[in-house]
Amino acid sequence: MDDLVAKELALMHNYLIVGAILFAIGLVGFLSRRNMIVMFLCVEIMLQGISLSLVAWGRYHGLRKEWAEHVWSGQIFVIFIITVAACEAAIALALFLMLYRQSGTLDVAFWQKLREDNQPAYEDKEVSDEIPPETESWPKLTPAGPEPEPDHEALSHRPKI
Amino acid sequence: MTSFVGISTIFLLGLGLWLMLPRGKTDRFYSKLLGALFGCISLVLFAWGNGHRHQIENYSVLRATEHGHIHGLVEPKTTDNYGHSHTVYLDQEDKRNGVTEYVGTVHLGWDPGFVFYLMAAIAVISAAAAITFRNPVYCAIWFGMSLLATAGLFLIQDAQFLAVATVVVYAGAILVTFLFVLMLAQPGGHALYDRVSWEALLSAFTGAAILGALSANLFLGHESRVDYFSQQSTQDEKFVPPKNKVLDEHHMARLGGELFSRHLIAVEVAGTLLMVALVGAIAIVAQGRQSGAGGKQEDQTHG
Repeated sequence: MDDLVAKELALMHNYLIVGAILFAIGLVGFLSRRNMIVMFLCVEIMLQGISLSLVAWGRYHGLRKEWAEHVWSGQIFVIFIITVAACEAAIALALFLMLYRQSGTLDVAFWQKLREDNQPAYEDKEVSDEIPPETESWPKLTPAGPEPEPDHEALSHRPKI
Repeated sequence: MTSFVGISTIFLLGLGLWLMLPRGKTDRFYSKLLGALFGCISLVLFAWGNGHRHQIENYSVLRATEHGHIHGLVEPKTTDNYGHSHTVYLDQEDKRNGVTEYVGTVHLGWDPGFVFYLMAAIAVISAAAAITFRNPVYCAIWFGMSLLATAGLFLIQDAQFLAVATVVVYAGAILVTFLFVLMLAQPGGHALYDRVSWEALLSAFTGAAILGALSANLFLGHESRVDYFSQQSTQDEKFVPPKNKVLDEHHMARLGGELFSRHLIAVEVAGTLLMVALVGAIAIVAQGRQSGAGGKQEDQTHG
């Protein structure tokens, strides 16, 4: 019996640790990336970590007989998290689209005037913006020559409306 | 976990994350690999420091008396295989029974299934890749991989509906919406804001520190956890031995019953929230288009 308790507890601890790792990774991504969509992706990573923790807690506490009514609590919480994540994804992406239309860029630093007044402005350091040569690819064109004769029959053919 | 291992884990993890993030000019061609190496080393340290707590062998504890329970632990300090000393306590029942010393081994450890470690590794590595790649489309696809691994983790915890819902709703709807918007904006990852991340050093170490803070409770307080074991085991009718319920055919019925009986109001509110979000998203886009093109239409009608 003690082995079972220990195993369940250890499993739950491992899930908590994985949830914490996912949360920390999402936090790092959210704080450091500048692309609005990638920032939102990191928020979703954080939500996944929390879902893992909730499911682990819910199952572990549902194993005790006196808390038998809480067997599903963790999972139902995660169902609502998925629902709310869908809602916020819809609205956030609509907002990002509008911001992109107004600014032409997905950069969050473009909107830094929305910060508090006493913050120093963030300016980009000089970074070379050349595309690395190995990713450039030029299409292969046929060599130039005299223009071919126009095909009058094909030009005068009108498709039926 | 000793404090040295804990601090070096956090330091290595922060360093590894900082190396992997896109940093523009200071990026080298070996940054990602080195960062991944540091991250893996730190996670191995993390697991090692965390795992050995559970497997204390050659530990002088008796599986006591006729019930086969662990009643408590002996007062003198003992050491485990790793040279760490643990204080152990007798409880009242042992003292009443006249038990003064324990001999034997405690199998506090468990054998985690290979599936759990595989899924957890995929989830963590995919999430780390999702935050470090420059091309946002690659980030989204790595996040999809992380979602699949999370669905596997849900399955291990007997949450079948959540596993399928994660794949269908999260990976199948939300992620695809992400990709639609990315298609409209079409960033190729060559823009400046994709290649440079701001405050990479601070954010990496903040994340590592938060990870340490979240899991510190699992490292410290060793004795109290073992006491929780002994209290659990002396009242064993309250602990239901877990059965493997992954293939339970009544899972959906019970989950649905619980959802629509105990959480009915929350379900209805969630439905209303979904509708409000849908209308709101459409309103945002319509308003944006109206302010851009509405001017032209007004000129045409009036002019």
